[in-house]
Amino acid sequence: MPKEPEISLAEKTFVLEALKQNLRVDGRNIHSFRDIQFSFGDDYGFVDVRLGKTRVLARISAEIIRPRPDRPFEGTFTISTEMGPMASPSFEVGRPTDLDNTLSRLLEKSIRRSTALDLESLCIVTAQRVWSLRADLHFLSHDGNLIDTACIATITALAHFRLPVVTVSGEDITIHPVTERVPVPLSLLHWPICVTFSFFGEDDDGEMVCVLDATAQEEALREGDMTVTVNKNGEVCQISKSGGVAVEAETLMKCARKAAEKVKGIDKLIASALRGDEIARNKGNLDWLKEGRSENER
Amino acid sequence: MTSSPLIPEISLNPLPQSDGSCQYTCPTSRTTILTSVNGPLEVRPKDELPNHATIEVIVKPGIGVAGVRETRLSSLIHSTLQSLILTNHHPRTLIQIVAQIVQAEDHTSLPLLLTPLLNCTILSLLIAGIPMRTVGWSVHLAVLQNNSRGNFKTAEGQVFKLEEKTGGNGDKMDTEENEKAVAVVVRNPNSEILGLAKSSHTLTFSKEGEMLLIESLECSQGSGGESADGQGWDITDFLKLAEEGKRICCEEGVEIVRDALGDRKVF
Repeated sequence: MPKEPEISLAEKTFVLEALKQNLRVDGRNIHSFRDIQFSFGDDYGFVDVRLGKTRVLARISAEIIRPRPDRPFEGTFTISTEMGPMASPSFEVGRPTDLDNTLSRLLEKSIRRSTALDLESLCIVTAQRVWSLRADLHFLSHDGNLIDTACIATITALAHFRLPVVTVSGEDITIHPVTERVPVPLSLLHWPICVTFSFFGEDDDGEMVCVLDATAQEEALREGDMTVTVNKNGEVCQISKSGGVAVEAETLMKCARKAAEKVKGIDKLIASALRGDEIARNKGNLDWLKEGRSENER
Repeated sequence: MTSSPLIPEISLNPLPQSDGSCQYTCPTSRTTILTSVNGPLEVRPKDELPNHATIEVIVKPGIGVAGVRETRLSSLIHSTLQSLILTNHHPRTLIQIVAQIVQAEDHTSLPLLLTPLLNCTILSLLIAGIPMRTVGWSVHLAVLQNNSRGNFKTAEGQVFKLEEKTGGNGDKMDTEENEKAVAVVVRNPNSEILGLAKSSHTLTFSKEGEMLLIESLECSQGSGGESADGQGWDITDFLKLAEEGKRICCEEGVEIVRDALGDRKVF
């Protein structure tokens, strides 16, 4: 299979020298993200997230299953991340790359283990029937920072998804179609969002150069990376740093603060995109939707 | 020449990282497909052909992991492309096609997915500059029960009847008077209409009118292309259907491809 094209020495020196002076090839600030664009599909739980040239689709689907015997009160939630040659010819079908493994583990840690989704709310009849949610992530185009994009896409899709109303009477379970009853949103407890820092060694002042939202070119040249998952309340859900250049504790603290600050902005972007879609979907009439809300006013 | 509700939404090269890509949305069933083509690439030694390029088609489902249905779809696309792509121009290379089902009314229905997949793949091959013998186009036709009085919504020009001579695509369906046993045909039906159909036919023709693929399925009414009642379809009806399909593919289909490519004059 074809390898990613190797970056020439001249290009490498150019990019690294520029970064030491806090300049980036695409003209961005070292702490700024590319523009995030959301587009939603016709059905609930489908979102297309673009971060520059990186593009990830997320789709949530639900089905009713029998719960696991050791967890009779809980529904299930799985995230499937499979990269194909569509994102980049160097990804092969059925042969996961390191990035593939890192990504699925990070999403698992960030979203599932941080209990962003209340699994008990997916229970229909204890030990009999529960909802099984599935998030399918499709990577369409790879230009760096797949982890953050995938996390944003999953959270946005979960927040966009609506579960059909189910009524239980005795043994019978009735699933009401969308046209009959207003479907309800999932109970998402918080929105954990990943922010990945790329490290490029120390600059002239002896400070670590840490870059946010690296492109594929920068990712190929970086000396180390670290992913911090924070929610908008500033609670750190996980920090993952596997290998790469050593980082001082002070730098780590700085990164975590920076991440918390960035997440607030991303959170607002997601919320406004969801709001925009809700208005477009209901053509300005939002009153009837309030009845379908499962969350309380806070 | 065609009424606009029948023209698919096509966006070319939406993916900057691949050699050629295309996003295709069927106007009636809202099925959206995204395909990317990479090639000619380095081929794995076990797939290498001494005199030809290897064509690899990967169909990725919208929900879940790829299974039998996706394998079937990719083999149908593969066999169609085998007769279109000039594989001897790039021997010992790989032409890799990835088709992603982005959105579909029914992610499990093979006939509803096949036509958009084929059309999208052909457009992305053209954009990627893969040498092809000719251009193909595919159309999905559903034949409805003679007495079906379903009040489904269709776009203008989507429905026509199989009569002695098909009177063009402008026929409106008047369900009030079904004089004789005249089969009603809906092109590119959505899942609701396919559920009412007696049989479903995916026809693919090249620009010159050669038949490239027939994928016909008999369905018993109301089961959405799942099971059959064993009555089959009439050969005379089928021949008329094929004639109409050929007209749609060779005239309208080629026109759509030309319009989509615009000033990128490929053929």
